[in-house]
Amino acid sequence: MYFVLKIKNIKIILIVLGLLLLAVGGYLLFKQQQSTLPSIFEGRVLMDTEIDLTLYGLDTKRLNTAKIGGFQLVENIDKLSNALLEDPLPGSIAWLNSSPETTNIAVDPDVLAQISVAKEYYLPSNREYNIGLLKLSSLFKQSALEDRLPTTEEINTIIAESNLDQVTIDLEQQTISRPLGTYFDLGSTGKGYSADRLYDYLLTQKSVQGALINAGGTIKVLGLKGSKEEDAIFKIGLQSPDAKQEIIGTVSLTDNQSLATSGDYYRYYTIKGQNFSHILSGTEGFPKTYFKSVSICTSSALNADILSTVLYLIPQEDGQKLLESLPFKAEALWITSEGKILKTPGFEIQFKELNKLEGGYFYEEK
Amino acid sequence: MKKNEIVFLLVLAVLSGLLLLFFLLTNNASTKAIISIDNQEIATLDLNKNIIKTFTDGHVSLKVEVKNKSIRIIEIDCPNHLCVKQGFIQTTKEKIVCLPNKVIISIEGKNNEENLDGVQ
Repeated sequence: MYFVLKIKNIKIILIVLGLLLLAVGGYLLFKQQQSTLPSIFEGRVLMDTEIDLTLYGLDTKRLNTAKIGGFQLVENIDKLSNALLEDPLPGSIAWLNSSPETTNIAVDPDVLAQISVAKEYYLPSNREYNIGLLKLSSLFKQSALEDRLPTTEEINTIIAESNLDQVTIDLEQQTISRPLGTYFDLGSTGKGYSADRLYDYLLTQKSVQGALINAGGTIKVLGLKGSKEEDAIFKIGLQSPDAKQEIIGTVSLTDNQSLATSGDYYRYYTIKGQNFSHILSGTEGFPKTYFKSVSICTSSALNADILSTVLYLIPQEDGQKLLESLPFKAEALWITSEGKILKTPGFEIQFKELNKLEGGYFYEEK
Repeated sequence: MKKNEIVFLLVLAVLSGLLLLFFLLTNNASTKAIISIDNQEIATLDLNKNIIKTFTDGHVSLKVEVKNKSIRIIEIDCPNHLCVKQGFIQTTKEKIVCLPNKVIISIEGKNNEENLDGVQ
């Protein structure tokens, strides 16, 4: 009798245990299915950087078609925006740069859109942000190869030759006039422009319910990842300029928001052991050293891309004033070369424990 | 207690155990590193197996190391070796990119701390 009872106890325990395990298993399975929508991902090397596309939607076959169309779009913009392309397409930036004409040169709408928006920032940046300085980048590239500093004369000659004031754009005729010697460089606009165009294209694709567009660090977000409330939020980690594997904080983006960062750590020229940021000053040539990085959050990725470069080149107070003068809302976060973090009140970020990070960061509230 | 009752209970217990094991395994063991050159996937590596391996594709040759569920490039021919200096990557949101050689190493699986959608 005692023996039977013991077995019965074991039986009950086993049944309870079995049911419990089944319940846990079932719950996990349920959770997996119920969470975010199916997604597809692909990264490609384009525009001299990496373009990542993550698309969310139920029909992954159609998502793939949308993805392929998206990459085709960027490939086209790449061909038109690459200033160093040999054998350039008519209307492309490389074609414009090599044109012997000076007035009313017909260029592709994709190229003109980038130049016209970028040019708007030339004067507000006190001529620091100049997209006509391709030759200056080439000079620094060449100097790095030869391991010698560019001379003031070399720099001044290039800056004097490239006067954006004398560039005029006719948006109706899709033409541009520019003095010979102005060589355009769309390095600061191509990624943002591509992200905006991708966004517009993906909006027309019914299969795409959500998307994360990452064009070489310029990020734009579309729609939703799933049906839950938090699926409307895409969390982006802001990398530390001093240690890429560390994150300073996370920024939450929702539909039609973009985030771009310009810094001294991503691309630079090394001359005589010293690193020079690839973001060059339009007045002095040598890069400005106010900041380690500047991040911009706004709706248009093109404006985010450009503004992060512009604000990197001018003092923080000037940048703040520039933001306030804009006809649209844009928020900024600056990390000074000493590691001080400043931001506009509207720039929402969840900071990490900054004192635990390499680089001596500290946040100063204004 | 009847014999078939015991059998039934044992089967139930074994099934539950297997189910749990399945979940534990799928949560853990599915991290892979994907290596691509010029937008073509050339190899997939299981991050749970430590290995040092050289891949060659056309004129690009790179040596990678998998250790402690992370991966890095040890050797590659490029001007600045930024990709080598970057060291190990571990989460799905990290990536090693060698632009001169158009090499991308990315990680697939679910081991993303804090559920970040991206980094910049």
